[in-house]
Amino acid sequence: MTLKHSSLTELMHAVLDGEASADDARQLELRLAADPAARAEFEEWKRLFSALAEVPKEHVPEGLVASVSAAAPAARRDDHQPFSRRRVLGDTSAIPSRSVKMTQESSRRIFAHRKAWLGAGIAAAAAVVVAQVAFDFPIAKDVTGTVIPAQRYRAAQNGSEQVQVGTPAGQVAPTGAAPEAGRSFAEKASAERSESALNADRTQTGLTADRSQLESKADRTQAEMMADRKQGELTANRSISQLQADRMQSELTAAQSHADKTADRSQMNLQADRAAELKAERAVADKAMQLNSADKTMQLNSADKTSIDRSAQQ
Amino acid sequence: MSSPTFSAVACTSEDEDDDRLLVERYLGGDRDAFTTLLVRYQRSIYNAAFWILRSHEDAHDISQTVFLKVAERADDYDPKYKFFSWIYRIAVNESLNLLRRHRHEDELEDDVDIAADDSTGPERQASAGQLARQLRAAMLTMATSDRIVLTLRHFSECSYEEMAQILEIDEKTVKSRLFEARRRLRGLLKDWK
Repeated sequence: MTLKHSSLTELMHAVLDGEASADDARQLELRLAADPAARAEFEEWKRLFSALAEVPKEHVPEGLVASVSAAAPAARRDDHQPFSRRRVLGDTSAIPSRSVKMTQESSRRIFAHRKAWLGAGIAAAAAVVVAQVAFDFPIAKDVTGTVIPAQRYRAAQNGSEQVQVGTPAGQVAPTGAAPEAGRSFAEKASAERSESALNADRTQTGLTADRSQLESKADRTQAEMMADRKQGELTANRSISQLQADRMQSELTAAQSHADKTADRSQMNLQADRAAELKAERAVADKAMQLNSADKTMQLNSADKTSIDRSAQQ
Repeated sequence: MSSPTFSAVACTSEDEDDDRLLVERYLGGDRDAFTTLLVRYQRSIYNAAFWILRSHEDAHDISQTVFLKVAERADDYDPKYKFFSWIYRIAVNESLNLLRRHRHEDELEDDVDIAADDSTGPERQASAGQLARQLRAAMLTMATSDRIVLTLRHFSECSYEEMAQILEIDEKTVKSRLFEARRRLRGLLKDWK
């Protein structure tokens, strides 16, 4: 038993992880039986492993499932997409993983799919050219402005390599070399597959960028409309306020005018009353004077009469 | 070793075939199949993200991102591999990307969500629970690479091979990193013997 300490500890970990072979496990068992210090260390590690299993889990916040379910897109099998991996490459289960050398049969199968696709592509291109030549498409009269290239490739996109599980470590390529021609086909197919995937990613990226641009434009327009609407509402509100202010001012003016008129009328009434009073006073005074004069006349008459009587008596 | 806390979300899921079937059903237009996968793996993905990011808020965001990517790219899933490995790898990559973007590694040493585990439930009173709490607090101070391997192995019960697939490293490196991480963890625990 000549294990170094670190190797012994690694062996303990492997056994506790359940990853040790039967021979390794037996070797450790023998060592522990003979070495109390090793046994004590093993017990320590065992306790640590048990405690790690007891570490409480974190609770998932409520609403995660609901929020993801609501936001998740509807499933789409890419069989119906023009640049889908399956349609470009065929059944991927037939394609060995990257580290596995391809057989001639699988290469031939991939090439058969590729030939079909190449043929279809050429036919489609020819159809477009014929259509272009055969039909003279009129240029729209109302189209004006400057043509600028679409702004693509701006948005940061995660590549497909970020979500693909790679070849498992430790996976061994099949023994026996594939024929040279097969390897050549494999390299070509791999390169062309990458090219197709890249083109598809570029198209997707371009579409995404265009969509983002359109959405951004739509958002901007929406924002501008909202701003205009707010401005209109503000203006209308201001107009209403102005009208109300004007109306209040008019009412105030009218009220002031009415008050002034009322005051004038009161003043005039007062003056008229005063004049009437004066007139009445004057009339009373005249009457009094007349009465006084009549009294004096009567007194004179009486005095004259008395004097006459007295003279007559004498 | 069986973990009562993570047994339902282990790498060594017994529902591997069911997972593949659910993915196929989802690709065929069955949204309920996706919801089933979501419910099945939400806890493991959330926990993985939390242990890498040490933030509940970030873990929530990453969990959403991961599942939305799964929904968008379900057609990229290769049934030759375990669904869990695929989704876990997305979670690890997304979490690491977020760490790089936010430079959490050094800046958040004193800002991790340690306090979330201060409850006084009966199961937390026992000495084993106390050690588990110490372990949790100690792990939250460890480097990201240590936290990832410890989480994959002890909380998600991934094998060396599965860890190698998820982290895209060979098994020997997995074993070495795990060994070193445990030694450092043990060094962080005081008076636990």
